[in-house]
Amino acid sequence: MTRSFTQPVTASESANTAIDLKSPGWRVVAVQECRDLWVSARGLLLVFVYSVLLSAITYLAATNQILNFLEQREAVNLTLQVSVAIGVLVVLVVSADAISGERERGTLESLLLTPVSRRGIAAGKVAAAMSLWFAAWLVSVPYVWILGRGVRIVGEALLLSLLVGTLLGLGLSAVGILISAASTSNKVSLSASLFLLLALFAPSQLPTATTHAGFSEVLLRLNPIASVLHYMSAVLARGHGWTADWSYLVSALALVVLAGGALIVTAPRTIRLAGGVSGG
Amino acid sequence: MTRLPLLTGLILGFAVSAALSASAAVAAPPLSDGIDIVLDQKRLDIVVGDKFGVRSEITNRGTVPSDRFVAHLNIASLERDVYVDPEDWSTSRSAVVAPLNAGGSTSLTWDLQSVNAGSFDVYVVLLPVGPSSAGSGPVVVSSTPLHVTVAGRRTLTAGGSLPVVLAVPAVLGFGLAATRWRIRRAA
Amino acid sequence: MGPITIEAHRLTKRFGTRMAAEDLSFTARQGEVMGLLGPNGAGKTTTIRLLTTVLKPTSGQFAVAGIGPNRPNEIRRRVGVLPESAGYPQHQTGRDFLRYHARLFGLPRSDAERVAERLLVDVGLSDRATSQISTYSRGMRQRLGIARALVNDPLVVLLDEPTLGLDPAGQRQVLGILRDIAQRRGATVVLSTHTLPEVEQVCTSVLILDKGRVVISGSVAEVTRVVASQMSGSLRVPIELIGKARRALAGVPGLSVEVLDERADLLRISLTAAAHQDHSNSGMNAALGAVLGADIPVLSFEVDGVRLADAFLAITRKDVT
Ligand SMILES: Nc1ncnc2c1ncn2[C@@H]1O[C@H](COP(=O)(O)OP(=O)(O)OP(=O)(O)O)[C@@H](O)[C@H]1O
Ligand SMILES: [Mg+2]
Repeated sequence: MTRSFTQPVTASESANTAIDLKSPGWRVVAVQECRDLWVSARGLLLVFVYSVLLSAITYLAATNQILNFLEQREAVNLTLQVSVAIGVLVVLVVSADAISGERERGTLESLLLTPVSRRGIAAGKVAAAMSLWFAAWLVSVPYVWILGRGVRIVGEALLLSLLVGTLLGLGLSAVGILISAASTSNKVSLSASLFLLLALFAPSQLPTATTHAGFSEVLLRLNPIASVLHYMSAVLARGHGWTADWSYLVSALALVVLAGGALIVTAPRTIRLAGGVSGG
Repeated sequence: MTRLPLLTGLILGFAVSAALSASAAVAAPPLSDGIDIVLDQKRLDIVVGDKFGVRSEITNRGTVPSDRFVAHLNIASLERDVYVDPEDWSTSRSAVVAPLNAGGSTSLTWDLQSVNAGSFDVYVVLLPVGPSSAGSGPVVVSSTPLHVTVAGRRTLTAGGSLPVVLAVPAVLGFGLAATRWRIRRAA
Repeated sequence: MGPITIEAHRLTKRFGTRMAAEDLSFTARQGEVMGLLGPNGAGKTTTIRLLTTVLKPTSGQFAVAGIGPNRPNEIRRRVGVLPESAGYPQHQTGRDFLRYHARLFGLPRSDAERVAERLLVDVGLSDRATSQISTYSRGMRQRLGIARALVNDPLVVLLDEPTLGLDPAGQRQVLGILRDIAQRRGATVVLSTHTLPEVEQVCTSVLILDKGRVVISGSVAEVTRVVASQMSGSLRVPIELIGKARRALAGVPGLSVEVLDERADLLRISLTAAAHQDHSNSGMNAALGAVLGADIPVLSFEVDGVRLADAFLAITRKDVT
């Protein structure tokens, strides 16, 4: 075979491509994924369960407040911590299903056969998963309002939770998609993600006073979830300024940069038909 | 959550008076004679969560330049069963005061936020930190504390939270049921 | 025939130590309908995935619509694929699904709408356009998948077992659609299948793979002719005379005879390699003559029709796993 293997595309060959430049592939993927999530009952079911949980916590907080065990600011803080924690959990779970789930349902190949880049697919999936967090945040608004009325904290608290939840959500969504792409099955992907989340949540439940202070401080700062929750407490319950404890946001920022970067770099290779970390 | 007990304030108070009396005994001239601190407010009635500021005017009424100081803000609860953690009330509670010339003065502004309801005194303490005087005192305390009465604002009640607690899941549950019904009908 | 639209040169794909495709070289032209045949595991699906950039080749070169593998997005823009055992989003309607995929290929909203409507009509799904895919029958899903493969008006259409699991009517419907694609759109169609009659019906050429290698390729007529000489037939005689018949046949040169285990009265006769050369039926005639000459009544005698199925079996029989 001596002649040039590939030839220039002739005009007639590219005639069919009236390309819509206004909607890049990732946006088309994101819109459809959001639609699937919300038009099917899946997204609503998750948000419903989440609202039941917030209701329980709010009611408990309100009852305790009467007994003066819990300050109002602390009640707001508690509710928002739960809101952020559950919100990002849902984002991670949905992201962990993104690639491995489509593989298992047999729909990934059709997606890979479109000209949308692998990065575009990943970005669309992150956007769709984040829509769950934004919905969760929206649902938390009335709870925070009822808990924080009168202590001039509602606006600040909601803004803060929106910011830190978005930060954590983006990072964990990227992590979830990385895990999903590398997993050989959806079950592996979901359990690995939940295990990771459990490992990140566990230290925030440990009584800090009993462990060695210096060591636990390092652990706290390394752990993006625990340190973000710590930051929220500092601002909401203790009334610190937003900038006073900003260093507790470093690990969450690092998570976004590292996981997002890893996704951008590896997506073209790992978002493919076969799962696993090696092979074709 | 660490709450310094009310005692902290009292102990500090004792320490202060002890230091003061000690300074009387020491003959050496630590350069803090004639320094006084006056707060710009005497009384404040607020509600929980309110932010407020207090300004302290530090004046050298003596005849010699003063030493370097650290000014420290403190809050003490005046009720037995109300605890106060000054850390929660203010994020920056210490400031360095440069040496003051005779007759010179400076002012510091402190930002606070009431964290819990009760009756509190807010006061400022000066501790010398000059090379010779560090750790020796004497300590100067603001002449009168700011007395803050924080009223708990009872906006939150179990009954009051019920509308939200019940309505939000109900609305979402209804939406969920409607969506399911629509899906089943379309199928 | 039109210009070359698919060109593979020593295309190889290895999974670990297993060669799924090895040194595949072939071409296909515009307007051609190429049947991709081979037993299970022959590498048909792998070949399609290589050509459509879903898998990266281990070595070798290829070009689809004149575009090499270093521009996978450009290849994907020009090919339409029905993947093997494709899944469909259960909660989407057929129309939503087609519209979405048209959008993924960069069509503006209104064009996507139009394309989806037209394809639903083409594959006979317009009356179920607004039903959820979960309610579709297998045949409807298969037709929806074919419609999906056409949303980008492809130059090359590759279909992996499009008639799998369909009843005869469904198969005929799908084949009709395929013929239409090739004739009306002038696209190249590559069709992987196990159903040989359908290849004879719609294909202009075949590529038979086995164990990842090309066994034979060419037009349907060419491939059939190559194996036409490998004639065989079956002869039925009264069961008590079977031994006598075998002895009589043993005297005819170039024949191999075997008794089928399940039918003791049936003799399978085939011409051995040496007898292929003369391309005639004389071998079979000699066999019949020998039996009749030995006064054995022949209950039935059938010479197997030489069809693609026989060619396929003859070529790959030894390797069936
Ligand atoms: N992802 C994979 N990992 C490992 N081996 C694979 C993979 N995909 C295919 N193979 C192997 O490659 C060979 C060719 O498989 P392929 O699916 O291409 O066959 P096929 O001709 O499509 O078979 P069928 O008619 O059953 O669909 C088989 O031996 C198969 O086991
Ligand atoms: Mg196959």
